[in-house]
Amino acid sequence: MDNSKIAHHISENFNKELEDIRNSVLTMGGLVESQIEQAVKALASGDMELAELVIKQDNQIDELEMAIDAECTQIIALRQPAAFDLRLLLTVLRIINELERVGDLAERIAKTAIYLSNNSEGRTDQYYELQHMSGLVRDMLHRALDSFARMSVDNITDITGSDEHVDREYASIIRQLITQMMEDPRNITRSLDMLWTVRALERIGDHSRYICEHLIYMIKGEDVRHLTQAELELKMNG
Amino acid sequence: MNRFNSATHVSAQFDKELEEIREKVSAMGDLVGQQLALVIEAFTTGNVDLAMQVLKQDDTIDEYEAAIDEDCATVIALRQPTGHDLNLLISVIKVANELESIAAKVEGIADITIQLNNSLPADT
Repeated sequence: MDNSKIAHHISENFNKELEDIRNSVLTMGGLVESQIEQAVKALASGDMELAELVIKQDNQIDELEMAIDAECTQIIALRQPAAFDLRLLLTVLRIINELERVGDLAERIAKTAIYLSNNSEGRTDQYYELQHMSGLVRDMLHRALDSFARMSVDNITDITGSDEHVDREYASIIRQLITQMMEDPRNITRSLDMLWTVRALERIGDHSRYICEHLIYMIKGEDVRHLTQAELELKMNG
Repeated sequence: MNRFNSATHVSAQFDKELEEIREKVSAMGDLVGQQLALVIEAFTTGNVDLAMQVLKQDDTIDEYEAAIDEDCATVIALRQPTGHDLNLLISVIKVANELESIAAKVEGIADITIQLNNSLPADT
């Protein structure tokens, strides 16, 4: 792992504090990724115990967020960092906030899995598409966190670009759900539960994109939020 | 007691910087509140033009967030605050982010309003 960006301080302790924070963020990210995977698995397999586990584990994510938040604030107060170090710490605060929201969405999917198992009458339409979409957003999140671990924004627009695939997949599943609701009103309850779930996955894609935008701020010092993908590509790749 | 207004800093300039940030957060909050009221009116009355106007204003909110973030980061870097002042500045960044999230939802409602009314049959 490239440590040149954080391991250059005269104070060995400061280096270690930053390294610890980086590791905590990655631990939190790993947990969030696994929560999404397990929530979707619980939904697709009707495994209620797994869904309950996901709901229970969300507390751990909240605790990690609060712990990292407190650590960052303390380091800013004690070390009075400037330039890159300050941006790094402010970016960590934003990234853990995104991760916490993704965690809440995973919890939402797990809760929906429980409702669905009660009213889907064994139907499995769209589960394949749902798992595919879940794979796409988990991959986006994983690559965003990997960029954070490497402290690099090379190829970052490849990651943000994946959000467009996610949005297309989302639109296509929504169309199927609307068709099913119009065909037979008895499908409506199930279709709505499915709709919340794909909506949650789509939001996870958005949050992964936001993490990439925060990383660009951290590395380049530029605020690139609210740019379109084309504008972002132009800015990053010239 | 409002820490923003405590005017207890040795540097009067620092007080002024905090006051400016306070004004921006307050203006951003007002605008988000206004946008929410307008979009609900647009949705409930099917007013597509009003929804479009709400969409246009969203850029201003994004600009507020970016400006507040930058102000806070600059003040943290230059003034190196600790204790209450640091907590305050970090809280401001979080609050601006929450306001932006609310504005993004408002934008979503405006999009839905436009979609819904454009898909109505012409003779209704």
